[in-house]
Amino acid sequence: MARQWTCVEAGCDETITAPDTDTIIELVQAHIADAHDSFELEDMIEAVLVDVPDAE
Amino acid sequence: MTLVRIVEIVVDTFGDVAAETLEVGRHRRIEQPHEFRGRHKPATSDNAREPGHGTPIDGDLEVFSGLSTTKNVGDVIAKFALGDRGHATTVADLLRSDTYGNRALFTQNPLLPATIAVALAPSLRAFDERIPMSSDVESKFHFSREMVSGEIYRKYEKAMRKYWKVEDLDFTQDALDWQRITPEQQKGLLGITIRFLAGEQAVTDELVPMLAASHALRRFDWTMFLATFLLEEAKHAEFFMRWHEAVVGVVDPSEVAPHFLTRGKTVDPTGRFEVRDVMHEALPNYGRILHEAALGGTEKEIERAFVQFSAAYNGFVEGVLTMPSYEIVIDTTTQWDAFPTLKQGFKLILADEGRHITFGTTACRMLIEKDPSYEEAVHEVFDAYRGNIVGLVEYQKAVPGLDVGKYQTMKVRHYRNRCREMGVKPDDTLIEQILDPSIDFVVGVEAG
Repeated sequence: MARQWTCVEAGCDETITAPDTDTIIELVQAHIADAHDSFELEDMIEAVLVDVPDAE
Repeated sequence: MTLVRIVEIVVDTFGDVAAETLEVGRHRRIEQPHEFRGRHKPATSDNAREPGHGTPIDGDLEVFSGLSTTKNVGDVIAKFALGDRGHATTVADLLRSDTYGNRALFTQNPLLPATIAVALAPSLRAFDERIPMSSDVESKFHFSREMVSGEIYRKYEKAMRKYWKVEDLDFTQDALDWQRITPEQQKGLLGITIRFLAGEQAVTDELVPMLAASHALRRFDWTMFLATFLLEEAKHAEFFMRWHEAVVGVVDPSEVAPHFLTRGKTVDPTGRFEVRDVMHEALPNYGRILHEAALGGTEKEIERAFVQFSAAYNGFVEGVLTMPSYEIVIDTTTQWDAFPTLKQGFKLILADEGRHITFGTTACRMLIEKDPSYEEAVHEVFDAYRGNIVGLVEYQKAVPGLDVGKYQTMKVRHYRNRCREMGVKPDDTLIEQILDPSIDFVVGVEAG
C-alpha cells in the first residue's frame, strides 16, 4: 500500500502519493513551503495520511 | 493512616461483619454504572444521606437505606477493605490521599471511614460490573501488546526519543541582536514573546483535567503520553523564561507585565462577533467540567467532557489559534536575520506541539468513533469562540512587513486539518468568515 495526503489550504487540492511515510512527509513539507510559504508538522501530516493501492 | 489502621478502627468500633447487609448492597442494580477510578467528595456523618454529599448517584442512597445503624455501615467498609483486594486498593488510595484532610478527620471521628465506604460502595460495585477481570492481580497491570502498538503509545515513544533541554541552548547571539534592533522592533517582538511566556504557563497549569480523565477512563497509554505532554509544556514555559532573562533581562512578574500587549475589550465593528478570553475562560471552564466528570461522572460524561476540553485546548488554542503566531515569529526572525536561538526554540517547541495537538485530535477521533454524538461538542467549542478565530491575530499587525492574508489562509488549513484528524465535518461558514477580508478586527492572542 502507498500513502496519500491531500492539501486543504484554501484554493489548493494538491494530492501527493508516496511509497512510505518518511518520503511523503518530505514531499508534503516541500509542497507547503514552495506553494504556501509555510510549514506543516510531521505529526500533523502523519495524522491524516491514508493508505491507497500501489500505483502499479 | 494506613488501611490496616482504618480497618482496625472500623472493626473495633463496629464489631463483626453482618453478611446479610452486604448482600443487599452487592446485588442491587446500578442505575448509572461507570468505570470508577476517581474520588468522590466524602460524606460525613451529618450529610451522608443528603443528595449530592458523598453519594455519586442519588439513587444509590436507596441501596443503603437499610444501613441505618453504624454497625451495618461498618460492615460495608470491613467487607470492602478486607474481603476484596481491588476494592481495598481503591479505598486505601482515597483514605491515604489526605485530599480532604482525611487523617485529622479520622483521628477525630472514627465513624468517617464508614461513611466514606457508603459513598464509595455504589461506584465500587459499578466498577466491578463494568470491568471484568480474570483476576485481581491482573488489574494491577495496564500494558498489552495492543496498547504498545497503538498510535498513542507510539507518540509517547517518539516524545521520549525527541527530548531536548533548554540548558543546551545558547542565547548569546540573541542577546547581541536585541541590542542592535530598533526600540520599535523590540516593542513589536517583545509583545509577541511575552504573550508566549504567559500562554505556555497557562497551558501547563490547565492540563491536569486530561490526566484525571485518562486515569478515570483507564487509558494508561493516554496517561503515559500526557506525562510527556505536561513535562514539555513546563519546558516550553522554561524556554521563554530563560530567553527573556538572558536576552531582555526581565523575569519577575513586575518586570514582564509592563510589556504585555493589552487592549480594551476587543470589539468587532460589525457587531457580529463576540471576542472572549479563550485562555483564561474556556480552558479553565472546560477543564473544571472535565475534572468534575473524572471525579464522579459516568463514562459517557467523562468522554464527552474530554472531547469538549480537547477540542478547546488541542484543537482550538494549540491547533488553530496559536499556529499563525509561531509562524509569525519564525517569519520575523528570518526577515530580520536575527535571534537564531529564538527561532530554534520555536521550531523545537512546534515539533512538541505537533504531537500534543494530534494526541488530542486522535483521542477525540477515537471517542467520536465510539459515540458520534460527541462531534457536537467540538462544534460547540468552535462556535462559542468563533469571534476569536475569525479576527486577525494582533501580531500580524505588530510586525511591519508581514503578509497579513497569509496567516488567515493558514488558520483555515489548520482548522480543516484538525477537523480531518478528529473525523468531524468542518463548519463551512466559519471558513468563509475567516477568509472574509471585510472582517479585519484584531484579536489579542495568548499563545501556548
